[in-house]
Amino acid sequence: MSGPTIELRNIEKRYGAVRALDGVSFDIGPSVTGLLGPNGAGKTTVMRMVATVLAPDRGDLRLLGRDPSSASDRVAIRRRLGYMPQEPGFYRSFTAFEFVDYVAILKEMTDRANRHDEVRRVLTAVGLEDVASRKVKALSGGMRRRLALAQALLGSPEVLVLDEPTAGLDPEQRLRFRELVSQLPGRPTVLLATHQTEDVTALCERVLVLAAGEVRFDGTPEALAGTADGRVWVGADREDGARLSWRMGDGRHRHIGDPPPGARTEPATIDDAYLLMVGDTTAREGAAA
Amino acid sequence: MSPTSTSPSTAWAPVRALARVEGEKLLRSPLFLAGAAFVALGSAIFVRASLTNPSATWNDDGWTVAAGTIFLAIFTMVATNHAALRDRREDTDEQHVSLPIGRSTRTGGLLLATAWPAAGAAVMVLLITAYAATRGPVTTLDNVHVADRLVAVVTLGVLGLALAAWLPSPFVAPVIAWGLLLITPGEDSQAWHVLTPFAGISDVGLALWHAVYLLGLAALLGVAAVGRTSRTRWLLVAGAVGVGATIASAAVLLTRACPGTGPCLL
Repeated sequence: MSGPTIELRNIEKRYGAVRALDGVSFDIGPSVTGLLGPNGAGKTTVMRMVATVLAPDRGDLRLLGRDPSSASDRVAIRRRLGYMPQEPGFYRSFTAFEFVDYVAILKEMTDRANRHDEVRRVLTAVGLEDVASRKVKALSGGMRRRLALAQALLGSPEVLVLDEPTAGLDPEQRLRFRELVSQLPGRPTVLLATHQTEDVTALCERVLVLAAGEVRFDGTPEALAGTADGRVWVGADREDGARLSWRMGDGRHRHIGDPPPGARTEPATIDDAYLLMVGDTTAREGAAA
Repeated sequence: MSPTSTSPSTAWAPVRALARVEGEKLLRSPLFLAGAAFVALGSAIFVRASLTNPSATWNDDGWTVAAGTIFLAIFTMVATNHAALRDRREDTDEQHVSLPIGRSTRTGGLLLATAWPAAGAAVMVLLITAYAATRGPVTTLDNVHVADRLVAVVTLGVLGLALAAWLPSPFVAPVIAWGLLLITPGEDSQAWHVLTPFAGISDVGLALWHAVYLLGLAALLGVAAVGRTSRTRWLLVAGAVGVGATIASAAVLLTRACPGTGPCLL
């Protein structure tokens, strides 16, 4: 399909008195797009809407050219969608194979032999083929996370919605995840909500920064890092002008903010830019906490 | 099938696929196996009685097997209820809502899956009935009673699903199970006991009506379970058939099996 597969126009969502999304708009086509933002920014609300689990209060949402508020369109969208929620649930008394097989039936894969082949394919893709016959309750947290990813990959969906897929994974598993996403067949639209800026740098062609229910940035990871150019410097001690600073392994301090005159600036990373962009939000959250 | 070709060949295909998975799970469920253990125990008691006492008959001594089937049906109800509450228990609703197969189809799969425990029960009960036939007479009435008990396994299995749909709490089915045991006809049976799932009736025709009554109830309960999340013409038809069968058979049972107010059951 050409053109955007995910379209949001002025989306609003409230939970009681809390405004979770306030006029969010963006289009995404086939690509890997990262969604960054602090806790409570509205990332999961966006992910749930794109996964057809939640409807917006206001605004237009279109997925794969269809309207998810229509029951028939919703089913058509779900046939082409894979979703890994932030807190996936599992049938703990099932084996890993049985659980993914069950989800495969719910994805309308009714031919038993072909379905089992597909289940084996996705379990192998996430590196769980050796524990396929193990009960879910006996799997580690990282294995369960990969199991949730495996069920999302069933049927090679055109839209893949992954909410914090690398949370709880060890470094090797995270690298395997990056390899897996970068090698997905058919160039699907992948929307990846994460706190891991390294994953965004490594995987995403585009990044959206969401804070306080609004899109604060929409562009490439390089452009995001570029927003912090000239605002990162290193000094011997902590400096008052820094909005954030921390002591590095070599004993020097890395600062982000408005550098003092004469400070020697450093190349900015996506982390620096992200912290500058949402720093106020996280500071408010910290104060509130 | 390519990985992306996920359209079902027919609307029933996902129901059948789910029924197979759920049915196999039910057969391996500790709850069903506990019920099956009661049938095995009742069968062992009958076999022992028949071996030690040559005058033992299925009609007089087979009640131990019948008692076992009561527990099997009740445990099946709790097992199907447990299976239907799985999403709630394991918090998988969020994930499954994003999938094309909806809850009503899944309930349909569970409904069809109650055939698995019924088939398992049938194998056990028919084996012991066949053994009984080698030791003495097994009448048509005995066979109808066996069939009636197998229908009760299905009806109570479906009851477990209806309870999960309308009263989604793990505590409800055990309470109902206890209640069913309390109203099981005993020495002091009342007229209304003829409408309980495990009523024993001393007439072939009326015993068949009792099986029809249980099937009607199963249809009604099935419609109630699926109808919680779906309203279709097919459900309306099934509901109408269930209502008709239940009312007609209940009327026959109450007026012909128990014309007075005194005890009338076996």
